[in-house]
Amino acid sequence: MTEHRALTQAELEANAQAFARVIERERATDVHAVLARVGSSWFAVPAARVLRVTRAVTPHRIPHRTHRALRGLANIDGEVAIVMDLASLCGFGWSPSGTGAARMIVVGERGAAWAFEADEVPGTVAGSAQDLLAAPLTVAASGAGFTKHLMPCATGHAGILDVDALLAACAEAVRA
Amino acid sequence: MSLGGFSMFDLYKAEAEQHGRALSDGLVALESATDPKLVEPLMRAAHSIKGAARIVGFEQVVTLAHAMEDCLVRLQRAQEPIVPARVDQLLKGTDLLVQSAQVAEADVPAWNAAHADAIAQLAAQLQQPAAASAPASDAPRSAADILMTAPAQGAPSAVAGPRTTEPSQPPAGSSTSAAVTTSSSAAPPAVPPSSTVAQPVHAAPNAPATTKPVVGESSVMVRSRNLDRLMRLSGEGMVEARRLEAMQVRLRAIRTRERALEDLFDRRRQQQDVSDLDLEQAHAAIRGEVALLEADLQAHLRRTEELSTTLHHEAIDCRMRPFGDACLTIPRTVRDLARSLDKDATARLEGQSVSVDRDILRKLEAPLTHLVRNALDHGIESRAERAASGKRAQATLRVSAVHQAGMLVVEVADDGRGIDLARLRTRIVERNLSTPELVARMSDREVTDFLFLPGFSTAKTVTDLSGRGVGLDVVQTTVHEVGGSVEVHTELGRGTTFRMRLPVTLSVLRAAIVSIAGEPYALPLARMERIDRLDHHTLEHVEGRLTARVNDEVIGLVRGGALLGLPGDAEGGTLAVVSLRARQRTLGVIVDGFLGEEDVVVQPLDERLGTVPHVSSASVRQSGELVLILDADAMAIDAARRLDEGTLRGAAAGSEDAGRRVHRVLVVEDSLTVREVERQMLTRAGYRVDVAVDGLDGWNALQRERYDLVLSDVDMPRMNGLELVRRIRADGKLAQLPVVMVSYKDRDEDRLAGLEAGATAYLTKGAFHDRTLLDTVADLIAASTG
Repeated sequence: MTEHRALTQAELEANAQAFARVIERERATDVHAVLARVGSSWFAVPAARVLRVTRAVTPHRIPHRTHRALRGLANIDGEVAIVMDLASLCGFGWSPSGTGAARMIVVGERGAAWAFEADEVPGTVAGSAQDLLAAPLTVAASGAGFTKHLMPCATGHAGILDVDALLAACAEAVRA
Repeated sequence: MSLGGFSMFDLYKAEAEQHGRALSDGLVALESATDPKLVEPLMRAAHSIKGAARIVGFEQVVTLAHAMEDCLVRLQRAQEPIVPARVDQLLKGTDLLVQSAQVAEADVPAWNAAHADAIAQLAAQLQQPAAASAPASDAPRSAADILMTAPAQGAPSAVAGPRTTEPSQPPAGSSTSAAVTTSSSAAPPAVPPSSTVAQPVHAAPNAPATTKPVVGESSVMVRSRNLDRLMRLSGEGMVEARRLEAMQVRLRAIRTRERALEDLFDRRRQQQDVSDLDLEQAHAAIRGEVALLEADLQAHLRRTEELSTTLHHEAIDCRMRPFGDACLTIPRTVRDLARSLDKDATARLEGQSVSVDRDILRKLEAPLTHLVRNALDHGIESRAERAASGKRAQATLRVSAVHQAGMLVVEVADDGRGIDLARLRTRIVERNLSTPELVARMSDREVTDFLFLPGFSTAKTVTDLSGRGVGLDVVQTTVHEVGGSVEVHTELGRGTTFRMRLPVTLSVLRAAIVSIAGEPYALPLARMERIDRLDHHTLEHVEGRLTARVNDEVIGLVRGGALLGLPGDAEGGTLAVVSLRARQRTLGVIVDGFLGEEDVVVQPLDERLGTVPHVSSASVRQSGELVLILDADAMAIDAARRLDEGTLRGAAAGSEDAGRRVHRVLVVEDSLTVREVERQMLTRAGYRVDVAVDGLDGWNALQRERYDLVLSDVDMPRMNGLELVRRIRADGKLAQLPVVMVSYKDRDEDRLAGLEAGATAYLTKGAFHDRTLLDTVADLIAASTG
């Protein structure tokens, strides 16, 4: 039978520190993202906004729509999705290497999803807010503004995408 | 008493309805053919109703059916001739039988009591020899005459001209009970055998039309054959799915063998006694299993693919009904209406088994009835007129359906007097709908289009023009709603044909899959003329433009990719040319190749894309590949216009706007003549004018180009002016664009509808005659551009 007694001050402090470490660990993983490579750039797409990652299919171009960022339409698992070019939206040139893009990341909401091609989607990455770096001035100020922070990953740093801003730009581009 | 959830009375109702319809149709056929052989099924029908009525205690029905059966026996034995007056009596009896099927079980005694006298009189007449023809109007009228003519009080006399209203059709039940009240006090003398002529005898209102069971939206009829096949196919699907489980078990067994092989390798590496033969045997066993599994899997894939395709077709087929379902009442309508108008006409139905989407079929019923009534009322001449012009006494009204190039073509054709187009032109001018010069230049097609204007042919014009306007606007509206079109072909003195072209179904269409600029597109077969494969070297250049000889005609060619604004058209080699037709002009679109013909399931385009010119929808092919469905009409119309402008080949530079800014006006109008007049007026006034041939074409133009003002007609195919202006107002970029509507419709409600939809101004086409139109355009452009 266990004996009940009041904790000593030292024990209380030790417990408080243990809880703090738990909270710290929780905080440390407050960014979950899917890593994707487009050309030589790495992107971190917040995992909560990713619907699925699939094998890439070549999109069907849309007549009379000449916006560079609009790649076309594709059948992704039975649904017709609009495929956008992340590189064009960000303002850098890229074309799928060799036989075309390898993967597609489908982002947004069911029924109103957007698909983005990527050369490589190696998996997810988790990190803490304190590990994040502010995007350099050349990216944050003169780029498309989808990347405010960078997070470390195995290959260096990936730009964390502001998905809302990205999708707003997509909506603008398809009507042009 | 009940049988499988149905009461005996329910069964009686079903039987009375079914046999009642057989009697009605059969009697009409009998009257035309006067062939005693046709009587037998009618006898059986009357006999069946009699038996069923006896079981449920419908004693008056028993009496009536018995009398009818007796009468039919005499007709069959040729003991008396088959004459219209007798058929009238039998039809009257049939109507009562059918009506009895609508009575609630509790009301049977009351119905028996209420109809006792009338039925006794009708039964007595059926026992008497019939008159050789209908009784004369001045002859003493029997109870039966009153019974039969009561609903048609106020009907025209035998020599009345064409009627301006629809034949009277009292609500169900009312006519018969009114007739019975009248007749119950009258003595029942026989029909005078020698009475001659002329007062037309009216049958009761169209029985089948008024006794149709009310079917709720939630349930639909599916042919049991379809349902059986669906059940069988879904069963097969389950069996196929279970086969996969078995294959999974076999796969696990292979994995076990594989692990055993790994063990052998391990032992061999550890120098244990494992021979090459042991390894080879283990490996061979695995290889054999894998090969078998692979073969089974391939067979399974093939079966699954076939099965899902068949299942899909079967599901689509469930939506289909035979065209005949929309024609059930036509023979009777023609017969009754012809007699009421003292005309002699018979219906000829063709293509009754043609499959039609049930939604389209439902929408088709009203226009079909309109056209049939219209033809009888106005198209088909009186007996005297037909005799004078040397025509066969009996007019024929042909109602036909046929699948033609993926479209359902329904025709209502009469061999009547036809439409006098010269008088129609005069009438258009008299009604101030256009100027004499314009009307003179209009094609026959454009002239007959006026018939579809609401209220065009009312009162006075009806008699003057053999007024073809009654309800035709309704016909046109309904047909447009389902994406079809309607046109009139007429020959003076020979007859008139109304031809409706409708999609066979709204969800699936038959399409040619072509490759354009390296990607697959579907072109609905219904909307294209033909596809030809041509060698590149046979193409000719005329004034720098490509042409080809197709079907003995030299047609202009455009490259599909160029038309769709896509780079990557294939060059050289063999090319496929798709011929499209727009407004009497053929245009060839060069595509990279023809990939086959498929049924494609239509999926609407993602709304986020807005309108994509030339593309109507998307579809996923059986291969899983995405395909865009092209709007062939829009392509042809657009291409023709851009060729005229010289912009399709990129020849016209975009520098025309340099210097003084020229205001741009888009004219949206389906009549070639009016469009040309508007274009010329505005061009002369210094505007740069583009034209579009309907609302959708206009909307597509607005997506491509910027305009300072839109001038739009109201009534147009595919998208009308009201819809166009609503779209413009709902669009962020275009919401402020001034839109002037110009229409022949000058009623206050039309004007209001235009302004409510969002038109900036509403003018009638009379505004062409003075400066109203130009002043309005100038004012609005000045106001909007500051």
